[in-house]
Amino acid sequence: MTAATGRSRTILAVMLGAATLCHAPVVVQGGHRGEGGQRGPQGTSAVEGVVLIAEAAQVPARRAIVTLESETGSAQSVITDDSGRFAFTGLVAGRYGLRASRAGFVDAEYGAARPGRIGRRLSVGAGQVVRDVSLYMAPGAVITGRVTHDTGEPAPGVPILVFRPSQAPSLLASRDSRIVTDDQGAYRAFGLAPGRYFVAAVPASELGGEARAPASAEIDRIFQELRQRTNPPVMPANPTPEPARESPRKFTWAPLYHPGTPNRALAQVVDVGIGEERAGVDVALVAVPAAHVQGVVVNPGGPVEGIQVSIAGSMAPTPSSLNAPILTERPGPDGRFRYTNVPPGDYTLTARVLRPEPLFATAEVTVDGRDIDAVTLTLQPAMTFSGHAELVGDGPPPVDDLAKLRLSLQPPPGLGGSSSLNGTSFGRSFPAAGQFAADGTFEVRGILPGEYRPTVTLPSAGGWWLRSVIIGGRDVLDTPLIFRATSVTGAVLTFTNRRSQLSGRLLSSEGQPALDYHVVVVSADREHWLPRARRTRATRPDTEGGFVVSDLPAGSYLLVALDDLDPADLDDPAFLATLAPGGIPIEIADGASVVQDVRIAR
Amino acid sequence: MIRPVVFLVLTVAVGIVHEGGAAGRQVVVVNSGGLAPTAPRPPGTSAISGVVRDGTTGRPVTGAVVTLSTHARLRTPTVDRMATDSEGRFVFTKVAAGDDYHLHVARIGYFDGGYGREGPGPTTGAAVVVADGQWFDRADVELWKPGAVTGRVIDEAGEPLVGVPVRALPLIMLAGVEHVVAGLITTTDDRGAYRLTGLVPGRYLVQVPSVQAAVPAGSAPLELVGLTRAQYENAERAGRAPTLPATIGVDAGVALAVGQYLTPPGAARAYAPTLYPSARSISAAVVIEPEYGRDLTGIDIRVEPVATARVSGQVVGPPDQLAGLVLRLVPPGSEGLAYGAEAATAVVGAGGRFSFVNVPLGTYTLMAGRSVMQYHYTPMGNNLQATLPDPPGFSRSGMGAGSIPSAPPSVGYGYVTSRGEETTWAQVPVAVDAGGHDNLIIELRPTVTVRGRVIWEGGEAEPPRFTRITPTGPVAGIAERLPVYADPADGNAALGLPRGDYTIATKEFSVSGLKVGTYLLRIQGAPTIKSVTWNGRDLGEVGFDAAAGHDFNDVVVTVTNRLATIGGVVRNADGQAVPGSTVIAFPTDRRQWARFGFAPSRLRAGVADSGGAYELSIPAGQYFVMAVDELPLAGWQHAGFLALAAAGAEMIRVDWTEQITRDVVLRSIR
Repeated sequence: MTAATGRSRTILAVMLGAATLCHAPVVVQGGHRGEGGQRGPQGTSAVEGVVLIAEAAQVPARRAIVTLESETGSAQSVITDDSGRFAFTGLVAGRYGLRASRAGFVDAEYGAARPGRIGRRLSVGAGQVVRDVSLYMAPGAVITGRVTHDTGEPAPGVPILVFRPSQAPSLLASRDSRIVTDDQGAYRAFGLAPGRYFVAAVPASELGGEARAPASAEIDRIFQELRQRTNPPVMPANPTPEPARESPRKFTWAPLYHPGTPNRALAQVVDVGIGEERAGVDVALVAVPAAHVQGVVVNPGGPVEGIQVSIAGSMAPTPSSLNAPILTERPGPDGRFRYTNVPPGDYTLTARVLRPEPLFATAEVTVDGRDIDAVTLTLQPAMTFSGHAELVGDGPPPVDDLAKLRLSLQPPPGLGGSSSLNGTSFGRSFPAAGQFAADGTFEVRGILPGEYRPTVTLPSAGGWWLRSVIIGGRDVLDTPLIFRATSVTGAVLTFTNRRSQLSGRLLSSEGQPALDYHVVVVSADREHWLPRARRTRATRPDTEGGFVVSDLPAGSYLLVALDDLDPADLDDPAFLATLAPGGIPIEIADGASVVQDVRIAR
Repeated sequence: MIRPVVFLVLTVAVGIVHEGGAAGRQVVVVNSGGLAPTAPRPPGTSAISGVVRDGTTGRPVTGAVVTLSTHARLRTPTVDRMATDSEGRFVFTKVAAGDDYHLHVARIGYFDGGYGREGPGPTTGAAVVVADGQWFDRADVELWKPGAVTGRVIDEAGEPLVGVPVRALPLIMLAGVEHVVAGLITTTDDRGAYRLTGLVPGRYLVQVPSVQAAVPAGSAPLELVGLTRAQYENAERAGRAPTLPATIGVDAGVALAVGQYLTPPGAARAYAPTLYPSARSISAAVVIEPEYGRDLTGIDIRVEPVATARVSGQVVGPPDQLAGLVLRLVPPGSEGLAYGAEAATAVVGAGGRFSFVNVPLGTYTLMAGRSVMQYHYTPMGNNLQATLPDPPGFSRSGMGAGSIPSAPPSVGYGYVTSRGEETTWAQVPVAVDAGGHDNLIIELRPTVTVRGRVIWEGGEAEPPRFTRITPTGPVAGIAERLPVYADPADGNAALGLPRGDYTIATKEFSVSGLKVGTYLLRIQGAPTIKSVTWNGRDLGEVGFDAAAGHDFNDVVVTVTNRLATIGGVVRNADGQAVPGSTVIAFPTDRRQWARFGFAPSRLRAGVADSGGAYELSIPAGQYFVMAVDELPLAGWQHAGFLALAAAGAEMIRVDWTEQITRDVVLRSIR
């Protein structure tokens, strides 16, 4: 089947409609988003419909879970009956999101043009019974294959990663379960949305070992010698030296992309259509030489206790660092450390000391199968992040005492966590945290080199949020915050309870509601086009053509209407670049409500 | 030419192992695969060689990694390691003389094996003894391939059920009684097909769990799995995010959480937990018996929707015990299984009110407590692979796992707790018919405590020393306390495994949390318990019956290391010494063949070394002693096997501290 899963899209020439730019007074919304607590007030409206399996015309999807989500984020679900029918009653008027899910199928959203696409909100009037709503589910695509060792034997228990090229690798591309090869080396990833996927096998050889593997001829020779020696069974006073036997060599398994490359650029992309089953997506594992890396951590101020070391592989060439070196010698006060089972690749070694003063040292090493014996890591004071908080808003502050707030620096999305196994960290960031003082100043100490995202958890009441973290005129909530060797002072964290709203109607050239389009809002600043950026948003017009995008941070944006959108593309800067020329410039001020109607030109 | 040989070690265990019964002889072991430092032994003049074969076909196994070490169970410190050649052969030379060598063999696609072991069998293998200049050339090892079970899960319309859990429930002998324990779990694919692998021959049931989880109406999905958004996003990044349940509103107060198990056919019908082929109870299920290296195919499970009812009522008990309590309705025979075995769960709300919804009609045990425990059997993996998700609305505060002495290897226990000590509990039979229940009153009962002191017969032993492996290196210390367990005498997991402390300085102990049932005391790391007296009675073999409803105070436990020893050489019918066989001793009194808890000091097994020598330490009494070539994989300490073994066996009577030398003849018991 040749479903249109490629990268064809139409960028429409868009012209300014009857644009009404109005800067409304500050709108303070309650913090009801995501609270979920109680079911909404009982109303008299209802939604009834049917879930069908799109590919097999009019076949009902029985036992699908249909979820109706209100604009406040509260959700309720029902199960379809044997005819695929469902009903929600007692609803209040509003705009609802409606989706259906069933294991092995791609989630269906109401009004989505195709499986995996963004749906549209359903407008329900007071007392209205919306009948015959149809949702179309598509069977998920399937990718299967086998993972084998280089001997041709099946490799059981190997975790398989199936992920979109624009995504960070995740073990959970198929939501139904973690994919691991069975005892025959076979795996089966199912329920996949149509699209392009990387498939990688990540043998977890962190517990691998090394062993001599002499050939049969050598064992024959040893046996012959033993027979001579032990018959008579008394050993000669000076045993003859044993023939030199080959020294142990060490191997480990490399994580590989289908069909068998460690290099993402050489990986074969698997393109599956709706419900397509693609077999033979095999991976042949290759044993690669493993080396040891050893060295010493030196403190100019004299020996210290409590040195922690970690090693992180560069994420680029391999899909994961599960294939991890093992810290076989932990540094004591003499600072000596040793990693074994290090596969070829580029690594960053990090040493840190938390007390009495936070210290760190890093070194880059490239391992090519040969042992590295003399890495010296010289400790230096860890970095700090300091500044102050500002409150811009109305009403009571988010907390009565700012000292109750905690600021933490976390690895940004997509860079993985900072968990560690056997002294090997995944990802390169070490989270750090600090407290605010009552006057709003803060200091986070003990920061190691890495990329971070500042986060502050606020009480949901009052609707306060962290709007910006400005360092040298740059907002590091939108651009990377990278610590290399120097501390950051004078950062300004701004909290606000003002919330913006961009809304409007999307109309056809004839002035009718244009329903079959997507509305995309992106920052006008290309530096903000990072994966999962808070300034990149997409929505669908509701049944009246209306659209709403809430809580955009103040700034310059471009608004674009598209006839199709793969949501995964929003993380791809190259895709966003293709949108920019046709975009309508929009300025959003703090807490402003902006109304922008859009008419699609012919 | 050297072939690259890479292997995986499937388990890592770090912990304290209390060896034997003798206090003061505790050793820490780290199962480390390739991590272990090579033992600094001077090179010797001895040699050890053998052949590794496939136990089923007898063919040599190439590329098996043989590890020579000086610790039986955990292969550390490692002396040497090599891979077998194309004829399955291995040879270690320059080995120093010693009597404690062990061979561990690993090969992808096989269970780990070792010298003197039958694959994943019930012993830790035999010691290899070599003198200076000696070449021991019979260190042959058999490896066994795991068995597998495959089938499909289909509903009443013949449609496949996709993405639902399927699990093996092995039937395992514990405390002389057969128990259903938690085994490996897998998930059906888009065709409804499943494949359970890593199975040891034995008796198994196969189950499709199905839980009707009642939660407060309006619960947010993240709340139901007990995660904050940040925690969920972190888990998502790490690929460990749980499936978020969806809630089906039932009325203004209660909703049904779905998404983790079979989606019910609606809010008035449900699928009950179903066992192969289509059974709703353990007793009606068909036992399957997989074999080494074979696929047992066609084990299809068909689920049928059944009528349901609502069960509402009130739990009466102390407020701190009601807070966050999740009630469980467990089908008969599944009481010893943890979360995921229920037909329905319900979150206890204000005033102790609860409502189970969509409960399949039938009979159940309603279970309430802050701790839920099960035994698990996972020969090729860790205990987490035997765990189903916590019920929606349950707030987990702790979990733990441990091993069960005297149980077959790979059998352990795991538990999950919610906040607060478990001081009350309830286990009540409930029959659910079409009318359901609208005001079922469940009274929480207090648990029982056993406390007293310990007398060390034969003088005070020195406090046990231990070494603990921490992230910053090994830490040595002296134990101030030893764990005291109240083992359920019949091994019933529904009774829990209460744990307390024995304080060495004061010689006092206390263990709380006993429910209605009989318990036997066990002090981990202390010598053998000789007697347990309370109120003038010896309860050492009778046990404490918590049905009495009161605590047991002033209990006196006498421990002793004045055990008798029986030793000798295992010989075959021709009188030749036989290396590596298993020697067992058990009481001639059949009443002691069951309900003996987890530390039956009178049912002992040991492995003869490579010279055929064995030694067993045992309390005074009259025993059958014999050498056997093979023990049942699911355990030997039960009447079925012991009756066979007793026939024609030799009786030996020993007194305390007596040392008896007796050669035994190797027998085959089938």
